[in-house]
Amino acid sequence: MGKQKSTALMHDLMELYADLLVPFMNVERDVPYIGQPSRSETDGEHTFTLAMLAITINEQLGFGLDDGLISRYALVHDLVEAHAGDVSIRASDAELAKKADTEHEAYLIIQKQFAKKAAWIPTLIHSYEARTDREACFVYAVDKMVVGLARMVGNGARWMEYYPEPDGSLYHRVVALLRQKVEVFPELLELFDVIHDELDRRRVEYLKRDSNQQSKA
Amino acid sequence: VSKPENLHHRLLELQKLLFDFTQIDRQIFFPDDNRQDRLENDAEHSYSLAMAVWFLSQHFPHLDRDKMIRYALIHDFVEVHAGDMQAIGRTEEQQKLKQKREDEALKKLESEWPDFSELTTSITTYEALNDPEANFVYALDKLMPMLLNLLSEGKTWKKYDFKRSVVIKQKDDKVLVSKEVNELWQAYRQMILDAKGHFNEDTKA
Repeated sequence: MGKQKSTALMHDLMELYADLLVPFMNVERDVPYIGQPSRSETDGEHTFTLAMLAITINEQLGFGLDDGLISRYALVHDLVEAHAGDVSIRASDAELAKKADTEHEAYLIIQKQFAKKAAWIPTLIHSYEARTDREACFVYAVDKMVVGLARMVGNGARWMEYYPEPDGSLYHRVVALLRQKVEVFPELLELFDVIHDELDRRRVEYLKRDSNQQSKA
Repeated sequence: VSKPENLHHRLLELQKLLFDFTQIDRQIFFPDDNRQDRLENDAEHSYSLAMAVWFLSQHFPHLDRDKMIRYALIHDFVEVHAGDMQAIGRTEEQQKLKQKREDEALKKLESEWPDFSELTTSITTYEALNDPEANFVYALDKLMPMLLNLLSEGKTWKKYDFKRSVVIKQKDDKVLVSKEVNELWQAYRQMILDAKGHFNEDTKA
């Protein structure tokens, strides 16, 4: 490789780390961290988890997708948030409408910075966003499904803060929105429904628990 | 092939296992303006390593990129049961204990996850270090803490009062398994030698 190339590569790797990976891994999502609900899950934790779950689901449900490509899509699927931050699915319509523009601006920053050093980063982000192949659709759909799993494993922490309505109206709206997104990979809808039917059953207990705690406080 | 109604229970268990993995803190500070004492955790480290491997793979087309990304994602997964242990200054006895714990952890994963054999097979193949991709990931893994330390001006090196010569010697030995990473290490090595104020010894003199 030669000393000059090694040195250049070392600086490029540090730039990737400092300008993209560190800010990305410090982004907090609107999902309580399972073991410590007072803090939020970070994008780094979420991305690793998504990659592992997506590979497993592909294997277990026998979809026969390219698991290398699945991993790569999972690794970049939220990378624009390094510059754009996370926008909750509970955000207002105005905030949600702004999300696409903010993320596109973030994408352009990444494209400008890494077009020569690592063209695959903007290329993969673009293919993922355009969902030009089944692997991109699959990762997108799994991403929309894993929040439900995380909420159950976290025993519905801070449920009342998120979904205070006893009839679950906001919760059901969010689930309907997520389900609509999962339709890009319809083979996952059955699994999505199984997970969310179970979460819907548990939702009532979570709300009751939080309500009791609030009364005691 | 599983059915969705059966799979969701296993996915809940897997999500729990992955969450446990995020709870394994490494003995290295992660740059975060809001949490000065924040340590990097195993999931974040695995993610960073996967991205670094991917980033570098474009310069080494003879290596299988996707295999290396897979190795990076699972390279520390046994720590979900075995925990993490400080690498620098580890005694021979501690190294044996670490190996024993990790062997037991792999057996536990194999027995708990017979339906996810891809995971445990990948771990076994990676740990055997029998292919250039595994060696590349193994060696690069040893370099990743150097990046974090250089970015934070030696925060972890100073906290544990590590000596520059000890840090360098430990990496010199470990990265030799991959000639590609070893070349890169030589550049980092020089940077560490030239860095001022990254070790307590720099200010004691």
